[in-house]
Amino acid sequence: MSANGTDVPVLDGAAVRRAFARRAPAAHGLTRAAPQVAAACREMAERFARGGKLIVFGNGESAADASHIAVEFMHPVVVGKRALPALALGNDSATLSGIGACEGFAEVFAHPLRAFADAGDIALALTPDGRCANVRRGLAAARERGLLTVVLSGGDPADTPPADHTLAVGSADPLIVKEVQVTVYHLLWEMTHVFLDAPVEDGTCDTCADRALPMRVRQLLPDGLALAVPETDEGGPPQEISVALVDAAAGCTVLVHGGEAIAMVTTGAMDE
Amino acid sequence: MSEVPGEVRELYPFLYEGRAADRDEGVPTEEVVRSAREKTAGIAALRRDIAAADAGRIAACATAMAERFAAGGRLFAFGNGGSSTDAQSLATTFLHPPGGAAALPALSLTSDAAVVTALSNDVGFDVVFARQLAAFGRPGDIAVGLSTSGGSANVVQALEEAARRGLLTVALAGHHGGRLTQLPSLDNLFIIPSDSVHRIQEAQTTVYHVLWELIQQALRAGRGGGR
Repeated sequence: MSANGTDVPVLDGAAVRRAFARRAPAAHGLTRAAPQVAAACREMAERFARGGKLIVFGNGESAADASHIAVEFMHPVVVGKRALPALALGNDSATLSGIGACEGFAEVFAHPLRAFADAGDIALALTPDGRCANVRRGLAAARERGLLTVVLSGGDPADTPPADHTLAVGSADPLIVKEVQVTVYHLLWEMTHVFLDAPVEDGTCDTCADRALPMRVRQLLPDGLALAVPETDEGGPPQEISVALVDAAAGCTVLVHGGEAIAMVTTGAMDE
Repeated sequence: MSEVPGEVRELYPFLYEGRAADRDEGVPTEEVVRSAREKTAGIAALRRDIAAADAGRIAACATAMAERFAAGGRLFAFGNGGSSTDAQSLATTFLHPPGGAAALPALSLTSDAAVVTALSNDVGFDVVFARQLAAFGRPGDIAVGLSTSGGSANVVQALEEAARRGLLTVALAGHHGGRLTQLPSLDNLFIIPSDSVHRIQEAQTTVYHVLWELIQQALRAGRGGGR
């Protein structure tokens, strides 16, 4: 019996400080990997800009991380960032257990990637050591289908599965690998938005995505509708939008979200 | 002439901040790399600060949790959004730990979509965790609530319910701790001193991993120092 009346010894702060100190080298290693993180984000942003969606998967704690990444993209904690389509494969326990029981657990990610993913999508896998068979098969299926593949790995670099972008944490401790991976995927989300908010080189219009765009009203139509062009592409073809919520006139600029003008930006040339 | 309502400006700040310059210049990758490095350095410093400020309290909390587990207690974890996935991570680390460590009974209250949606639809979102604790919780168990703001009503209610039922209560918060600082019945509160939700979550992950490591050490030592 110890002082606290049980067989459990009383721990002291020194053990905590040692545990925290063990984390420092792996976190420092991420600083060196920043260019690889940025390169992955640039390509992810290109995929999102063309309408691609993000499909995330992993096992154990990495399955929870996959859900975290999906909600991060779908419902950003930073106000003002657009929602981007993302899905974690581990959340559907019906499909997961169904495939696992019938075709084996190694197939649980590969099957939905073959059956649900589009070639323009992004597959993002998380693993503490690169050795999970279902993650490796999932990535292989995604590559075969033409998805952009990104893997967050750790442990022995020789075990990192093949992917377009491999971001490996230099630690053999799965808990430490996970902690650094949380920072990596927060950066992936943030930097993807930095690239996405920059001009799209092919001039693709993204009013169909969940983002507000300023548009110039060309002509009012009956029933609260109007023809308008994006402020950034005034020579482009006019689009039909709803102006039912605002007091719009030809020549004014409105903020359009999902085809609906939600606010006035300027009231038009005559007022300026 | 600008007539943008304040709330629209707040929701879509990127439309109003240096827009023209950004669109002309694109984003130089070097800028992104520098920003990534700043954030990496930020989380490393935050972990150092927490170790310096809270080591003794984290050790005491781990001791109290280990005592509960040694006496047959179970752990229940809960949170919203990203913190719900941390609750799942925490529960699976205890229940199915890496490296052959001892499995400890733990459950995340965020995983059952049927229960969460039923309670939200029929009663209200504020009770989704408290109601589950009322059904599962016994004196001697452990409740761990995660909230980056410290203000999530359902996390606060669940911790109050847990305290009423004699559970050991542990809360991980950020910013300045929010409403969790106003709970007199809370046994352990760890506030990550940051305003970034991302850095708070990263540091909270380390805190619950370190708690798990120390609990495993304590339980091994309690069994006679084996393994």
